[in-house]
Amino acid sequence: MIFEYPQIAVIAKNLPASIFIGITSVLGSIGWFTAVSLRNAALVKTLGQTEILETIAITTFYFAEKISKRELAGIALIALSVWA
Amino acid sequence: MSPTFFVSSSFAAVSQIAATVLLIKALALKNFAVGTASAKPEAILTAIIGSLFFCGALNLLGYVSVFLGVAGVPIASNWRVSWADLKPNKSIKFGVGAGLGFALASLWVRDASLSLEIDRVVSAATVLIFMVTLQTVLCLPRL
Repeated sequence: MIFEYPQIAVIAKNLPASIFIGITSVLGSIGWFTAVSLRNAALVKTLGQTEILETIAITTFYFAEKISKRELAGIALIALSVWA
Repeated sequence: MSPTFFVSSSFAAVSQIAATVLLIKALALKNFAVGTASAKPEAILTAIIGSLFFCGALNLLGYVSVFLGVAGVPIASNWRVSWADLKPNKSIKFGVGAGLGFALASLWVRDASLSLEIDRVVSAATVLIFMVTLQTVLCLPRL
């Protein structure tokens, strides 16, 4: 039986979190796969680095953490690369 | 479906698994920051390998953009990496290996998706379904 695999049992125990991660992951994958189908993969990866900005935005607004000057400089470089 | 679809998406599936394993190995090491950091220039690896082996050359502006983006990542995410960390070590090997795996995976995904001459959203989803199914079968014995 499939539930005899230890990892599957762990997933079954944490079903709500597993379903949430599963759905968000598949949405992310569909995004990546569609993007590399439409444009050069290296450009997609460069644009994909904005996930760092999104992570920083989430930690700032959701977890109320401060952004440093150094982080802002990095954000500017990534933004510049996307604009270029 | 052409043989290109099956060959490319199978290669993508396997290299994605290999890259994930390497990244987790890098994360398990003591100086895991170095490992994850060295996986990040995968956009540059994608650009180089893509232009050499996948007929995916960029124009000059494209290369500048990729390079700038990669340069911004360590600054934005507050990395503290010293010169001593840059000597060849396990973390760097695992990290660069992971970056290489993810770079190859995305190039093969593109190959597989473009080999299906249908709407891009549908072809991307088809590649995703095939890859996830194959990866599940490959990983199931190790769960």
